[in-house]
Amino acid sequence: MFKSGTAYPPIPNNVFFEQVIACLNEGKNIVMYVQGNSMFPFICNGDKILLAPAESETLRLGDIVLAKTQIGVILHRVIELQENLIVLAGDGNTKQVEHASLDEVFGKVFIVYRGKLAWDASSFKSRLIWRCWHIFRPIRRVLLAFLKRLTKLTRTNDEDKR
Amino acid sequence: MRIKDKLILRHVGNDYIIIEPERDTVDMTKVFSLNESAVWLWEELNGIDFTEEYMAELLMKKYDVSKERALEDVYKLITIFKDQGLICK
Repeated sequence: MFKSGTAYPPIPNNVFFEQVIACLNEGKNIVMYVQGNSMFPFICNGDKILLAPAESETLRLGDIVLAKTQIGVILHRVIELQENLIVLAGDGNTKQVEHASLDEVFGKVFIVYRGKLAWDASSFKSRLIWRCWHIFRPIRRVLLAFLKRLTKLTRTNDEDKR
Repeated sequence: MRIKDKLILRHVGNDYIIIEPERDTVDMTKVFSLNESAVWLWEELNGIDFTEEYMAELLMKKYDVSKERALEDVYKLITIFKDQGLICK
């Protein structure tokens, strides 16, 4: 009759984001789980995030935003700011970029929660770390493969210890 | 007991989320699967004081089920309402 949901709502992305955007437009903050690894390693599948309504005047390079792009509604990072347009890319992507107009940016990620950890995604430190990661975009494929392997090994070790 | 005031049930695909309009933050990690009878019951109980017996009576009238069956569903539902912090006394 009535059961509480799971970590990953079994709802199509477009339907889910419709509600997220509606709430953001009402001025609400959103806490939600992330699906997918396009923002790996900074946001991973299953991480929880705090999204706040975006103010286009205060958007900066390195902000992680929820925006409507040519490929649909996505949560990616601002890598370029033009007059009325932003260019977005996933931290875990090596080449693909997306475009959105400023009025189609709905929310900005402020906090990322992973297990017992939480960090400010909009802090100077976070941005600096991202800047370093962005510089290495040409060799990101290699770095990603290494990090993913390391993540897998860490998880296997943790499971063996239990 | 009663359902907390001003909670809104919002349809998301085939599921529902509970929104507290006075709160600044909407928790989209809590998504509820409600069937038709649960939604109906929620709407009947919203804004009024009720007991488990009253809930069971509503279900019995609407769905022609036995008292035992109705109470069984009611107790499950109340447990979930309480666990999720949706009820106040």
